Amino acid sequence: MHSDQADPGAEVARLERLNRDWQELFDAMADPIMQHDGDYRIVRSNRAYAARAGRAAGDLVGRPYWEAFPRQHGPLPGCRAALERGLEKTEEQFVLPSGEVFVSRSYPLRDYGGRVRGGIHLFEDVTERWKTTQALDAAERRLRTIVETESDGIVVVAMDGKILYANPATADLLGRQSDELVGNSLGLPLTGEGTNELDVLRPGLPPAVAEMRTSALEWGGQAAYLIVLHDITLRRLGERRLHRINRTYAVLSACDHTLVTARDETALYQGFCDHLVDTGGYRFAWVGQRRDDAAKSIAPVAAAGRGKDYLEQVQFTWGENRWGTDPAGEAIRTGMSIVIPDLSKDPRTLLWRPEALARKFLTAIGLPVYLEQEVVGALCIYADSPGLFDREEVALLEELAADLSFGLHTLRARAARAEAEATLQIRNRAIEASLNGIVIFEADRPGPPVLDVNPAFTRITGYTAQEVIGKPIDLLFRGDIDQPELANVEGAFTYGRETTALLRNYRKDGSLFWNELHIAPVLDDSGLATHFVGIINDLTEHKRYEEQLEFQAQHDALTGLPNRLLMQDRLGQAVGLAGRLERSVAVLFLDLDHFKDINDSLGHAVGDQVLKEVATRFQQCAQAGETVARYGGDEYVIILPEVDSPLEASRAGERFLATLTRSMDINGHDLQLTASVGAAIHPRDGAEPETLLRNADAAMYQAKELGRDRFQFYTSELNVRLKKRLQMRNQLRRALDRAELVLHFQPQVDLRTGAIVGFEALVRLKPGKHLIYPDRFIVLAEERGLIERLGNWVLRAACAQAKRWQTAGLPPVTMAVNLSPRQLSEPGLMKTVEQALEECGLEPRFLELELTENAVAQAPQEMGRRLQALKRIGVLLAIDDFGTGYSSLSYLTHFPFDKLKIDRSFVKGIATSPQAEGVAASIITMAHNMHMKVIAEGCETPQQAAFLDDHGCDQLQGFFFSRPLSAANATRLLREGKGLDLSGRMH
Amino acid sequence: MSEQQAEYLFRLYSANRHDEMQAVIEDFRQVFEKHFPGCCRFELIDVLSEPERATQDEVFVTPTLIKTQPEPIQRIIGDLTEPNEVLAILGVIKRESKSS
Repeated sequence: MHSDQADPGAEVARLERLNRDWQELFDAMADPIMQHDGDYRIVRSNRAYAARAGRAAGDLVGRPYWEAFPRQHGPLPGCRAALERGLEKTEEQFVLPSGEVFVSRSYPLRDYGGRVRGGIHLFEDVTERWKTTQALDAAERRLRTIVETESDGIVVVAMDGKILYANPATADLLGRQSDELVGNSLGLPLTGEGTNELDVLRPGLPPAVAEMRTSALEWGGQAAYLIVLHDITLRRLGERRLHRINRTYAVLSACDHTLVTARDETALYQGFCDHLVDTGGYRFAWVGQRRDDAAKSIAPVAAAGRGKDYLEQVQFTWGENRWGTDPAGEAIRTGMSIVIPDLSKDPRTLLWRPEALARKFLTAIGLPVYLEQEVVGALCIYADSPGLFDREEVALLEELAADLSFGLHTLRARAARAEAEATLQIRNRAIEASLNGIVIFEADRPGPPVLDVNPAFTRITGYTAQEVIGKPIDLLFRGDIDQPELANVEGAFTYGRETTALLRNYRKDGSLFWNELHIAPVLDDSGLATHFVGIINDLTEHKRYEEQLEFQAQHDALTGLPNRLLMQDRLGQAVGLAGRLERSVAVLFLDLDHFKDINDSLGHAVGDQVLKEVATRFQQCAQAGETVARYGGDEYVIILPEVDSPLEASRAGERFLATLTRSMDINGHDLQLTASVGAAIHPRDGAEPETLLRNADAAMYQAKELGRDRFQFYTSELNVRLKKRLQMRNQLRRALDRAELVLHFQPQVDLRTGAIVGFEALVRLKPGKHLIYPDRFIVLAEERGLIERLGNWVLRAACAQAKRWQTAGLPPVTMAVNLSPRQLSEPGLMKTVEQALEECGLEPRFLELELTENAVAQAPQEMGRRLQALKRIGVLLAIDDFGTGYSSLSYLTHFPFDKLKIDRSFVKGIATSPQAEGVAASIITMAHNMHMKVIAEGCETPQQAAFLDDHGCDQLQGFFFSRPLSAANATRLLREGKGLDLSGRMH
Repeated sequence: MSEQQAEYLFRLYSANRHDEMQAVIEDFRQVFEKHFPGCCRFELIDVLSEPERATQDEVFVTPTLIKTQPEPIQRIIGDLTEPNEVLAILGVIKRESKSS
């Protein structure tokens, strides 16, 4: 470039050429280009600009560009702002009056100091592009308007379910603002086939129903869903209503069927409730009956559907109080149907609302049920969606309630009729069954004629109904009309009065009977007699009835034989007569052999049949004058009033026995019976009937002893043992009855101190002056079931004596009482012991119960429990007769014994049998090891006492110290403080 | 399948369509039994009985099914009668190929 500086002319030429080149370049461009200075005057421009300005380019230089292009009143606003504020680039758009649209992009030009000294403009004709944009904008605006005015909800959601756009209809449908919705999550829409129904939740409003359609959409460059929600709430409500009405019609028709078929009220109510739920689709239905009690309660009588326990949770009342606001109460109180459209809001529902809502009862209706213009109950229906029960439905349900009322009316009427019929039937039955003869007369015809008679009439008079109907009752008189009381009857018929007359009447067979006739008129509403009812009271019948009663009193109900009472009567008569006529009377006492076995193995029914069969056979066998009686159980007594010799009596006995040889068929059982017969003959074997009987009984016993199935005469020396046993049995019973038992007491002394520490109570029977010892009556007592009574008596008497001594201030002693094995197993033992102690107030620790080891060994577990129970009462327990049984000492550790009594047999062996001594000594040692006290009984000699003392025995009892003493003597002994004196011995 | 399956928790909102929704839940459970036995729990919410739950969880329509666990929380509205489809969309299971 150095050379160019050297030649200024060439430099100018080069610049001009460059300038020209640029100019040509600019001019070649189709878009206008223009450069202006700081005052917006054109510095240069291209051809396109000049063309736009409509002048030659040269003319434009120095002019403000707004005079050229674009023509206006000043610089372009963007250009000005750029120049004044030094912006790097400005782009602005302007429109020519021709409608052409240009964009101007201007760039500032700076001098070397960086100051803006002008700018350059590039203009572009964007008319076409602008037009396109304009068209698009308009289209979008139209669409937007459509979307925003569309009645369907239109929502755009992103793939995450977030709302990108929601139109106003959506906002309305959802009950919210559009902008509230955007950004919230609606959820990804799924529409299976075609459309889908949604429930739309609206704050504070019931849900709407919308149909949803979806399609894929690109929104802001992202995949999205377009959701269209079409509100079909009204349509659905309409459909549901229609559906509901249809269903209600179906209920009505089903209930019509129930009206016809229901047998009773419960079935009627239940049928209606069932149909309402099953056919009507209601959630719950029930019928409540009005009660006129103090609480004015409503009693549920039928219910169907879900939530039946609602009836238990809510108090229903038709009273005017807070609980009486439910549909049932209100319907009964007001007699009108009551609808609660929305249970969750209605203030009336406050009390029972929680229970109702918990069971999804959202709407309710109560409908009164009438009977004869009176509200007797209510039909209540609950539905699980709100807003049900519109006018149409209510009208249908009211019709249903009216049907129910009608059904109730019908049933009640039917029931009343049935009751009337039943009453009539019962009356007819009563007349039929009456034992009294009943005659019904027609009152309005002369005679009066008989309308009807009952079977008893026929039984009493012998006349059948046919024979008397239509005729006057005269035939009962057979012309015997001269009777004073007949006038009463005529008066009754004439004046329609009630009367009673005692009349002589005649049966068809001509026999007379005394008739106490009672006549009563049957009056109609006006008080006139339409009928008479006559009641025939056959006094002859009465007589027969009395005889029957008498017979029953004297005869055995089972066999029909004379009973013991009648037998004794007859025997008395026979004995009386025999005395005068010098004849003999024989008494046979028969007892069936092994009859108890029949009862036990085949049952009482068979046993009874046997007794009857035997009675029949005996009766058939009896000859004139002989009396066969049932004495009791399987015992029969036969009285032979005239016997010439004992032989005749024995023949008679054999005769009766022979009747049993034929086997008996009782209920399919082939039974072969025998009997034992005892005979006593008057006056040889007794003058009095009782003696005769007793002796015949004794003879029978001997027949049994001799092997049964035989005849045995009484002999005075007969069977002494038997007699004694009998005597003893009676004595014992008498003794218990008359308190002929006494207790004796044998002292027990302490071997250390010598003092009396206790007594053993021993029972004695004292029928007179003599004492009878237990060995003679205990077995018998056990046999005869008297042992319990005996044992209880001993227990009480012993406790009472011990207490008596304490009260008298004597030294305290224990009272030992023997318990029999039988007593020990008695269930009431604990109670008996407690009562005995309580009665006399004796402390339990003073009572000692003695048991034999065998009693315990029988059922060790059970006895163990019983002994423990006794221990809990607080009494002492001693084991008696130890060493005689088979139990070992160690065995005893299982039982709570306090004391052990060495059997007298070992004590007896002391000083004579080393073996016995050894046993006694080892028993003492071992018992002590087991913490039991040891007492020796039957100690009679000083040697025995010394041995026992030496071997550490604690107590002794026996003749060596004292024999058993009467209460008085024992008392004296205690009072004197006498003890065992072992002082002579050295320890 | 991984050795330790995440537990899926769903809430299903319905308006008084208890029985219908119970059946839906039952269908879902069956699908789960096949894929992840014992791994899903459903809570059925009746928005009529508990409207506050709907408000609180911003439930606008029912039925809405929300998967609350595992993340991300996702919700589905509309037809839930095809549990396979729903679970595939939620990405819980793979879409069953048509051919099989």
